[in-house]
Amino acid sequence: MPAEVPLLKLDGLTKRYGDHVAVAPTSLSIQPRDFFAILGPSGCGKTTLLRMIGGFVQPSGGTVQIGGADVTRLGPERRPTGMVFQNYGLFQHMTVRQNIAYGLKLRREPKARMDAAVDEMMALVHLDHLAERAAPELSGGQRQRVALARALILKPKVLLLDEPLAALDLKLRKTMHRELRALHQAIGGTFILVSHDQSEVMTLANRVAVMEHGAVVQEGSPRDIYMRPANVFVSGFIGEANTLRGSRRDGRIELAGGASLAHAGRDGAVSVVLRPEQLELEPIEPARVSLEAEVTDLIFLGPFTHLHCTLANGDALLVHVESRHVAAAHRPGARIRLGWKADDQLVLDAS
Amino acid sequence: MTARKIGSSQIVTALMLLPAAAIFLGLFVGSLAFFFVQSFWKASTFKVTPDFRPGNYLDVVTNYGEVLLYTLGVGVLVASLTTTLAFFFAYAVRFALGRLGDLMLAIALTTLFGGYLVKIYAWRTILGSDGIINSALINLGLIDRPLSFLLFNLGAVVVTLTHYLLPLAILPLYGALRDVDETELAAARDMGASRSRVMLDIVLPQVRPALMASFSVCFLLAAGDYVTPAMVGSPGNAMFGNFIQSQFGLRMNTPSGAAMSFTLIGTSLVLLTLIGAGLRKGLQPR
Ligand SMILES: Nc1ncnc2c1ncn2[C@@H]1O[C@H](COP(=O)(O)OP(=O)(O)O)[C@@H](O)[C@H]1O
Ligand SMILES: [Mg+2]
Repeated sequence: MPAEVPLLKLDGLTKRYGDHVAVAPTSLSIQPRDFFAILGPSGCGKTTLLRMIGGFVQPSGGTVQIGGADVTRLGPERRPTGMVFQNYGLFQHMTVRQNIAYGLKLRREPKARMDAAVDEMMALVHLDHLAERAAPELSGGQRQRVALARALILKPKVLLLDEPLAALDLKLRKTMHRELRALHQAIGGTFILVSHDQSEVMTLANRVAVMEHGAVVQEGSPRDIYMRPANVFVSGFIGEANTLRGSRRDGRIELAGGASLAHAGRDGAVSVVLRPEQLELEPIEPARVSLEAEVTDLIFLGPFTHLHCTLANGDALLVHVESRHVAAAHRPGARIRLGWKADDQLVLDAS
Repeated sequence: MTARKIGSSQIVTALMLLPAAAIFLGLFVGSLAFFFVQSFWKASTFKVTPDFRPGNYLDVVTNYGEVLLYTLGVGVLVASLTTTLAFFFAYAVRFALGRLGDLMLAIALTTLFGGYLVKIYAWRTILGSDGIINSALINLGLIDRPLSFLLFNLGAVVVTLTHYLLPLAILPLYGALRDVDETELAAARDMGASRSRVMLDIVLPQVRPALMASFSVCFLLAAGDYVTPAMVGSPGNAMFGNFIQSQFGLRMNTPSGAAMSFTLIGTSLVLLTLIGAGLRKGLQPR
């Protein structure tokens, strides 16, 4: 079977503003039906990258190909992309129906077909009861749905979403996560989502590119990125992580926090990354690496308990354990032993 | 609910509104009402007698109907031209020029400080037979006698009025354009709209009230003007305001002058209402 042709291909795509590099040369391939997320902290260049894909920002270098055709020089009106903007950008002088129908009107769709398509789209995003409502009278979640419907009705090859849920409250955001997932599955489209919220990305995306300072530092499935972060930045940004500093000599790592473990590699500074749930209390098996810590705080969260600890060198360590493993002796001030499986740890050489 | 006690804050508010109300009622409504009543009076050989007859209005229509139409036409021409230029200027300042735009806006608004008469004399100097344009053309050897068609005609009136009204028209339009969300323009483009469609479908409908405000101000000031036509216009083509002025001044026929004024106000309002309705219909989302 021939390899699937990527639907969207970025090749060395770059944006500079004067001396400032907003997006360093970036190459990505996005397959049909991907729910692709671009994740990174604020200011790392996510919006700029997305806007170059949509045709709103002229790149300083590189190309954008959609379905094999080079669209780098085309304006947004001539690209098969649809964009949902962070602040929605609904047409304020139009009703919900007029907003959603606008793109079809530009295409001179016959009225009957257009009305049917708009009705169907409004039902899909649960807006049927608001058809004649004016745009300024909508709530945040409703605006979000209009923006989605308005873009989707044109059946874009790629739907671009710029932090679409950032302005909504937590509860509504969770509802919209479910709806977005369902929508993606229902229409079988290709979505690219920009977000700084790692939990949102984990919930929605099947592929993730993590950006830092204008460059993609890692790309893969959410699971890959969580389990095998490429560097300390990624491990800290995706989920919670403990980063223990240490140094390696002759195949042994000495951790500043007071543990020693065998690990082959070149001599020098290293970081050992451990997820809070990979640590356990009172390890009995000798195969585990272990160290001493002092409990500073203990937070009971029903099925799980979070223990905040400090190591001998003062570094903080976060541990998530099932509550049934927590005993009365594990109270603030107690000295405990923590351990982990050598398989779980991730050792990153300092560069 | 029982009757509310009038609080002291309401009394303070009332006191603060009093001067404005007095000025409005006394100077504006009062004088208008006075002239409106007078417009039905009778004037004969420098004597005015109270009466009630629509004759003054009939005289206006028969004697000055053509001038009225010409004047309204000049008003529409000047207002259309000025509003269009002002819109493109304000649009460029808002969306295209960045820092340079702020500077251009500041310069445009500074010209408001130059008086009205100064501008008229400036255009006489520019367009006159020994003016800047003619001297330049003669010095360049392109012509050997001054061009006389530059000044004292409708063109000079339109140019002068447009120059005078432009900053007044820019202000409301720039204010309205600043409130237009750039994301909406990007979204329309994304859905396939060309730049001109975005203008027609998104920008113009959203600034329609400001378009109408600019157009109305320009129209009313142009149609009511009598200084510009007298100074740079052709003597044969006086505007309605010139005749009103002579009724009140030279002829001392206040009833007739008042009737002419109210005819101009009335027809202007009707015309603006029609244009406003047309604009609303034309810019409705379909
Ligand atoms: N039009 C612009 N002119 C100059 N700098 C810009 C412009 N747009 C974005 N930038 C800069 O590029 C960087 C990336 O911005 P952006 O893509 O908006 O980041 P993000 O969406 O990840 O928060 C920021 O440092 C921002 O200041
Ligand atoms: Mg952004």
